[in-house]
Amino acid sequence: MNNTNIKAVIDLGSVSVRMEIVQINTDGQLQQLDSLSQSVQLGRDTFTGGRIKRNSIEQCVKAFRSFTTLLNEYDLDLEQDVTAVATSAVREARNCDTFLERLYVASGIWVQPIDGATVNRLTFLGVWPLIKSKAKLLQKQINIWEIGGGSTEVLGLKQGQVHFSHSYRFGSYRFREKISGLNLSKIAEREMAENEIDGVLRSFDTEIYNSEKPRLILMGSEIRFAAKRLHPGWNGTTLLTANVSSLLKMVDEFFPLSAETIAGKYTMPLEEAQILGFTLLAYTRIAQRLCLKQVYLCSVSLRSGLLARSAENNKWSAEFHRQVLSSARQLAAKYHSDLRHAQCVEALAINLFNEMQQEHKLTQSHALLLRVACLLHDCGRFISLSGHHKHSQYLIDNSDLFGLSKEEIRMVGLIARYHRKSEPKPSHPEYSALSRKNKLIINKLAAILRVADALDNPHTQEAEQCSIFRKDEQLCIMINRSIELNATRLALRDKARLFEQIFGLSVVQVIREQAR
Amino acid sequence: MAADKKKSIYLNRELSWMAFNQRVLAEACEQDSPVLERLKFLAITASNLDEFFMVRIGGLHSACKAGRRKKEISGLTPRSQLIQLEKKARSMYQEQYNCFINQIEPELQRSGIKHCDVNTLTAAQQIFISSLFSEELFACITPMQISSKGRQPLIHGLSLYIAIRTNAEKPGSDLLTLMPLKNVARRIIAIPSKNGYSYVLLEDVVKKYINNWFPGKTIKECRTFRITRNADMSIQEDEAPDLMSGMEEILEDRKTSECIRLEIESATSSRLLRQIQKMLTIDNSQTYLQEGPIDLNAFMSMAFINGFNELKVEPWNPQSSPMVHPRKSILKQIKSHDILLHHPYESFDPVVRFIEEAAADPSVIAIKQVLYRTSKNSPIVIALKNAALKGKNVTVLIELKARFDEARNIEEANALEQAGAQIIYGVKGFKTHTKICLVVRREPEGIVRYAHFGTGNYNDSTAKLYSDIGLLTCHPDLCADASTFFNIIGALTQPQPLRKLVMAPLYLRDRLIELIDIEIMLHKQGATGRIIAKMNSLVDKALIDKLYQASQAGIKIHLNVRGICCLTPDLKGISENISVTSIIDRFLEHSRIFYFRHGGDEELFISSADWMPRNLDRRFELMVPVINAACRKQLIDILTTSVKDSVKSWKLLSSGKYARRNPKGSNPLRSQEQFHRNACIAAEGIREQQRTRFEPHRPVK
Repeated sequence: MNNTNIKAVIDLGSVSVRMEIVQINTDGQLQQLDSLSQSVQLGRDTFTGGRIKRNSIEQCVKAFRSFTTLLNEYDLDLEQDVTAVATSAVREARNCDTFLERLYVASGIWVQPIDGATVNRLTFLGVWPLIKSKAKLLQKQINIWEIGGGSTEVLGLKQGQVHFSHSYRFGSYRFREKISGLNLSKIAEREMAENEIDGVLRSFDTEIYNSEKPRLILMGSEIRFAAKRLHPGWNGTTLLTANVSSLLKMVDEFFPLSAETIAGKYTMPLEEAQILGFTLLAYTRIAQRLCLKQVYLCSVSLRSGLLARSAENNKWSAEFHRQVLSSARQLAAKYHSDLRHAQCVEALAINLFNEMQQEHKLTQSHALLLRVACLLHDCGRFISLSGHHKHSQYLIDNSDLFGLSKEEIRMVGLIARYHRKSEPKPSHPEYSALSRKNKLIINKLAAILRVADALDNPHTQEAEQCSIFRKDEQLCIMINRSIELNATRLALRDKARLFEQIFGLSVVQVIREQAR
Repeated sequence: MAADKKKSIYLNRELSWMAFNQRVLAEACEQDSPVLERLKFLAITASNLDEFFMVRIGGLHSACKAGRRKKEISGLTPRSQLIQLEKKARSMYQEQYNCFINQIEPELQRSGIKHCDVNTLTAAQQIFISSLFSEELFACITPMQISSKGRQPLIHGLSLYIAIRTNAEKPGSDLLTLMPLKNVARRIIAIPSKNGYSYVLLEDVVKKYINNWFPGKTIKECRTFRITRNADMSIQEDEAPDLMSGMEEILEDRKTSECIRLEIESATSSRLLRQIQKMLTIDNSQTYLQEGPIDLNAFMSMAFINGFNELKVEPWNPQSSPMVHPRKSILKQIKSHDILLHHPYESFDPVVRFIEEAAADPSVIAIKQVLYRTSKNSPIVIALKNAALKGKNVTVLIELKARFDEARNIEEANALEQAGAQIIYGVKGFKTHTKICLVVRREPEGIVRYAHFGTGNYNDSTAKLYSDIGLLTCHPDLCADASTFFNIIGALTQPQPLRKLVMAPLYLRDRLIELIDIEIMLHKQGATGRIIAKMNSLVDKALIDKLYQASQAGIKIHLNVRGICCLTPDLKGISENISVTSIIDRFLEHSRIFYFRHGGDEELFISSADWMPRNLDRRFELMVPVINAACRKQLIDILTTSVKDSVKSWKLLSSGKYARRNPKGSNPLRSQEQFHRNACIAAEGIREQQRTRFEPHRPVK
């Protein structure tokens, strides 16, 4: 009997490694079978010494081996059925690769280090069903915060659309590193923590504070702990409304206590007890800064997102695609791109992508990269018209585009860069750093983007109505006579070369005679 | 000193245990009961006392030796407890032997079970014991001479010895020789008899032929005795990297630990007594001169002698549960409804079937079980071995630290491990006392888990003698928690929050306190509070204090505590709303059931845990909510019937003494009898429904 309906996800964080094994029922609902957790000290190691110490490595190996006991019991394929990710504490460690190889050799599980952007998209996948179920909330502006040991992820939603997505190098362990060796009293420590948090919040993007007062959704293990304390009967399947004053009371209760006392009293691993007070304090400061009296507490974790993705066979849902494109449009608007042109190019590119499916054999995830690149290909004009394709690449590379990993953002940047002028060349360092497979993807998608951009060269969106079809060795684009034919022809002559090289089809214009 | 004299609101735990054993002894003295039933109760009191001496009195001796003077909650130091307990023990022995010699033995004689004097046997009987001596005893018994210098031979605890005083070469001095009777022959030796059953005791036969072992010597005196050694020793787990070998060492150490009790014939001369006491380094306070046969527990086997049914109580055999069809798959039945079993009125077979069926089922991928005490040749262990041999994932936590069952558990653990099961010897620093079995099955719709939770051990033998509750369920939350529980004790995970189960040592006391607090709060808000709890022992001070608080808030509390109870009921201003009863009847009351009215939304639990610090702090235990409506109804009925028992129930008075509850009105209620009767009626009803009948076609007239 196969196990395709049982999946496991592992999340290697700063203070703990957690695994969830779920069963995907026939109705698509996830049923948790087991949930395991072991404390680790990766955050302490990486954020204080820069590398994961040997003891911690072996601690993780032990945890992974105990996890595999259960995975074997369910007869799960460690490659097919188990998704394991690691966040900042592993990603930023100098010995990240050695550490991950050690884990693989010891347990047979490959752990994928993921960046803040990926954390955000997984968070979104986990939290979206909860938000969607609250119609009123959906209409509001929402900020979703998760403060981790080494990084903080913030996701902004506006009327159900992703508005922004940021990842900051700010976390409880980084603060602990700062104060280590200072021998501060608890009062002084709190004062310093408040200053630190406020300082970081002040420097945050104006997007977070300068718009309509947002609703705040807080996540993380400390929030789950707080929620259980405030409402012991809460089952975690809904958003829980909590008064900021209650959270503050909890901070007042925990901050003066030693980690040992908290760990003993609340049956909590010491590593988690050490950062409880600071993290809860940070959350309350955010709420206070936004002048909120109430916040939403949420039990969703990174694992929820991983599981939601597993349930979809690791494919991104249509809703997710919608949100990524929404974030890209927001970014395009921010840089005053000609959105109508961008969207026309997007539509043409997708037409071409679909028409050439047999040749390029790319997936819908690649189509998404192409669409985002189309939306943002001209954003470099914000800096200067001259060499704007390079500015576009730079801006895209350095933006927090929701839903795409750093690697995917780099690819989008390159596709956008190659929408004009030079074709991909080995002398371009970012391009040459790519794998052979990714270079080929860039070539194919850039080729499509260049043709699509050429078709709307006059920025009139008339070409949007064109028909695309293949005839012998030609890709025919049937356009209306009214269109600025010469401009388009010239643009195609210049930009279609890459397409012809990659796909072996020459691009020709066919004039559609309009009915009189 | 003034504070010492102030009466404590807590009863002493050890004295409360003595009072429990006294209640059991009262059953032995119950003249209306059949004599072999009385003998059984008498043997139980003797066996109970043995264990009490080994563990509790042993512990107090250790505490005194270590100079510990800390008072326990009732205000007594270890020394003062020892003094009071030894006094109580003496009076209990007196009562035991009085009951045996003056009541039970004469009645047995009258009824045809005759204890014969070895010197007045018939010729046939004499030939019988003579051949027994020459063919078995003479070769098997090796006298051990005790010398004042050099190493003493090992004297085993709780084994019978004969001490012989013979003349020494040096005039005026005596030689002491010991004859071990352990594993030589049966203690009670049946001899030929024309009618009825006649027996002699092993020590009497040996004494009759004693001269044969000492040719040429003058035997001045020979007396039977046995000693008890301190068994209150536990493994220092931090220093024992391998628990298995550590436990084996404990078993060895127990053989040579200090002697804390000497039982010897009362007719022993002071000269011989002094010699033995000197050998054992024991004083008069630890010496018990017995007026009859040493070790009355040996008469347990006689209580179950073949025949003599008129001297026994009518058997109450376990009945089939009406919730379980005997021929349908037990797993399928659990899937359709939860099953609550009330043992021993209802048979333990469904539990055995549950594990056997899982072991044989190809769709079952894992079986996980905790074993604390099992029976010899346990069918459950056999089923687990079979499952492991078939390649299923079998995880068994065998608690190697289960006192007095260590040796058997070590043996079972080795056998299961050889079969391929994954064995956990227990959790470091804790005993795992939970009664739980989890079966993980792959079904067309996915993984389905089944669990059994119990209040008693997975021991098919004691399940016929102890009253316990078992719950078979596939409730997703309970089973998910069961899985988490195994992940926790197997160290696959750090403690995780549980959905419905409550686990000691982490959360159980807090949850119970919370439940009582909620009861107090609701009562104050106008809902009538009510707490009923049935358990074996109530010792935990925090819970007792919380119950006092609830009583003071006006909540009616009924505690059905079979054994130790440190709470004093009926104290004005403290506990006047609390009543405590204890049932001592044919079956050992062993179930733990807790009921909280909870403003009408009743909370109902079964548990493996007593309300004692050892259960709440030093053991893994579970409290299991009973969710299914039919099971809840059944459980409430069990609880209320137990509370109403007026025949075999005792009431704890504010003085700390127990008094028999007098049947009120014209309908005295004996709960165990009622449970048995109900079980019979239900089983008969089901048999009637399941009976195979063929209906012939007849011509229509």
